[in-house]
This record gives sequence, structure tokens and C-alpha cells, in this order.
Amino acid sequence: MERRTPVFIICSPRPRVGKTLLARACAEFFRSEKRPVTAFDVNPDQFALVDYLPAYTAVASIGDIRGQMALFDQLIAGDHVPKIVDLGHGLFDPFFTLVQELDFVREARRNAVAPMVLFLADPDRRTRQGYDMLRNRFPDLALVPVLN
Amino acid sequence: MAKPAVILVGADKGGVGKTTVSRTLLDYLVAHNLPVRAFDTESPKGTLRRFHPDITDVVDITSTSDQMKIFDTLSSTDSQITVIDVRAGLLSTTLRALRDIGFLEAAKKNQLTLAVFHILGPSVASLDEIAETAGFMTDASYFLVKNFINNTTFFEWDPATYNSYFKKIKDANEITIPKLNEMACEQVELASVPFVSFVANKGQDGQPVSYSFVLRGYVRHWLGNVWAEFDCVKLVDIVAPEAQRKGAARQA
Repeated sequence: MERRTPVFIICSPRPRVGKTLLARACAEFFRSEKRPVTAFDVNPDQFALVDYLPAYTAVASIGDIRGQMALFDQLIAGDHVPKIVDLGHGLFDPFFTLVQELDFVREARRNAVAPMVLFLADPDRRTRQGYDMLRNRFPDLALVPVLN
Repeated sequence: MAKPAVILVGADKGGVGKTTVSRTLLDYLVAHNLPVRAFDTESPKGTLRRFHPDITDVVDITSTSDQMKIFDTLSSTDSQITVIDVRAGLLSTTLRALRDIGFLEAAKKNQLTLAVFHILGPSVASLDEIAETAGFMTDASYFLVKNFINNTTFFEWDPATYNSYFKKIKDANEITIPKLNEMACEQVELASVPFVSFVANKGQDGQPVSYSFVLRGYVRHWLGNVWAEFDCVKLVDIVAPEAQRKGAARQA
């Protein structure tokens, strides 16, 4: 069976729910297994993940096409290196709009890349709306609620 | 033999996106499995030919021998549809020549189909051409194409000016070409391949290449929107009605 490259997109439309904590836990898991890993800190306000794991983390932006290329062209690479995206809450909607416009999920499948959304769940209304949006817009995308 | 169709893409102004629209049309028709050939009238160089070399010939549309090469072969060629990317400044001249050789009359008698894509530029002079061109369009499908690839507004901010042009021609359809990201546009230029090949990550000989996924995504999204415009005006129905009927029968 073909080995696929995992991409974990860690997100929530709400701040302070534990996204960066989960991203750190994921990255450190792969490091503890002596496996390579690449993380992307996509937080326009405060870059936290890069402070914790500077050796494996790149700061990324989706505000312009060069930043989008730097991020997505790596996420789509079927190089067997797990990728972790720590997505700031303010970029939740623009990021997934881009994912849809670029047809990221289909292209990922074609390149043997397995994207998975780790969605930090909480009782807030905005969180429920965000979760519903992902389910409706990306029925083929693995969506895992994470209770922190 | 299916009824031949000719699609003229032109403007009397340069740099408004004629070749870009021609390229989207060729991609669209090929994607619908319609037999198509193209003529690039930017003689002797030819920009369209750079992107679609297998189906494009460069011609001088003002020369009688090249006019014969295009129009005398309409019924004998395997390609039911002929797309002509008319050089800047020659749209009216070409239409006049078509009238003089009886081509417009043949369209009137329903012996062939003529569609004209008039690409508009952001100037009053360009809009003035609408009235001039429309005079030839009584028996053709006439499309006014607003090309937003260079961010023009077509005087929409001034309703009097806008309406005086765009509302005047009764039977004209409007087509909007949305803006394509500059970097994506330039990357396709550099690659010199059809938009569809760029999206599919293929080079000039069909070999796999590695264009940016993001740029390909932008082109795919943009091309989808352009094709949706062609779907809206039922372009396949106009230029290849029998293919449309066969497709519908297959679906049934």
C-alpha cells in the first residue's frame, strides 16, 4: 500500500483554545520517534509555535501570493515528511477559502498527501459554525474534533 | 458533414486580451471534444500559435490567398470549428471582407455559423467600435467581452456612458473575463502552454513538469469562471448544436 504524506491542519475560528499546544504536541511526537517533521506557523498576530520549535518551524503567510506559494507548494509535496500547520484563528476563513479555490484536497490526493484537519472544539457558536462549514465545504477532508 | 462554425475574436485596439480569450476558447472547445482549428493573424510571428502550435496556423488575413486558406476550406477540413484571433485594428476590415465574399450572406442562409467575440478596451474609442461592428452582426452571434484581466471598469461608474454603449445593441450578449492573478498569468506566459496543460502540470510536449500548485490553482479557478461564462451563453449549442444534441441524448 502506498505510504502517504500526512498534513495536519490545526485550527479553530476561536482564539486561546489550544491550537499551538496541539501543534507542539504533534511536532514533538514525530521528533520523539526520530522522524523528520516540518511545521508552519500561520499566525498573523503572534508567532508562538516558532518560538517553541524554531528548528522545525517556518513562519508562513497567506496574505499574498508569494506567501501562499511558500506554504501550499510545500504542503502539496508528497515527500513523506509530515507537515503541521498551526493556523491562527483570524485566518480560519481566508485559509479554507484558499483551500477550496486551489482545490487543495483533490490535488493532495493526487500527490499521495493525506490532509487532516484537527479542529479544536468548544461550545461557542462560532466554533460550531466553523465546524459545519468545514463539513459542508470539504466532505472528503478528514475532520477530527479535538477536545482540549 | 456538420455545419461549419467560425468564431472571430477581435478588437480594433491592441492589448485588450484577444489572444487570451482565444486561448480560453480553444481550451473550452477541446475540452468539449469538438474538432477545432485556429488561425493567428499576427503574421508573421503569431502569439496564439505559441500556445496551441498543433492546431494553429499563422495567416495574413488581409491577403486573398490566406483568406482562401481559411474560408475555402471550411467545409473540407476535419475541424468543424474555426477560431480566428484577429489582429488589432482588423476586426472591422475582416467583417467587411466577410461581407464582400458572401460569407455573411451564407450565415444568413444558415449554411454556416458565425460568432464574434468583440473584446472591449477601457476607452470610449473602443466602445465606439461596438456600434460599427454591430452593423455587420445581424445574422451572427455577437458577444461583447469585458476583459477584467487588466482591472478596467468599463465606465460602470458613469451609467449614462455605460448604458449608451452596452444597452444599445439589442442582441449582443455580454461575457465577463475575470481578473487572473498577475503572477499566475505571467507563469503561463513563460510556460507557453495552453491553460489546461498548465493546470494539469504538463509541459509543451505533454511531459510532467512542476509548476507551482498555488499558481495552477489560481489558473484552474479562473479558467473555471471563464468557462462558466461560455456555458451561460450556451456556446456549444451555438457552434456545434448537433454535438450538444448528441451529448444530451447520451445523458438521457
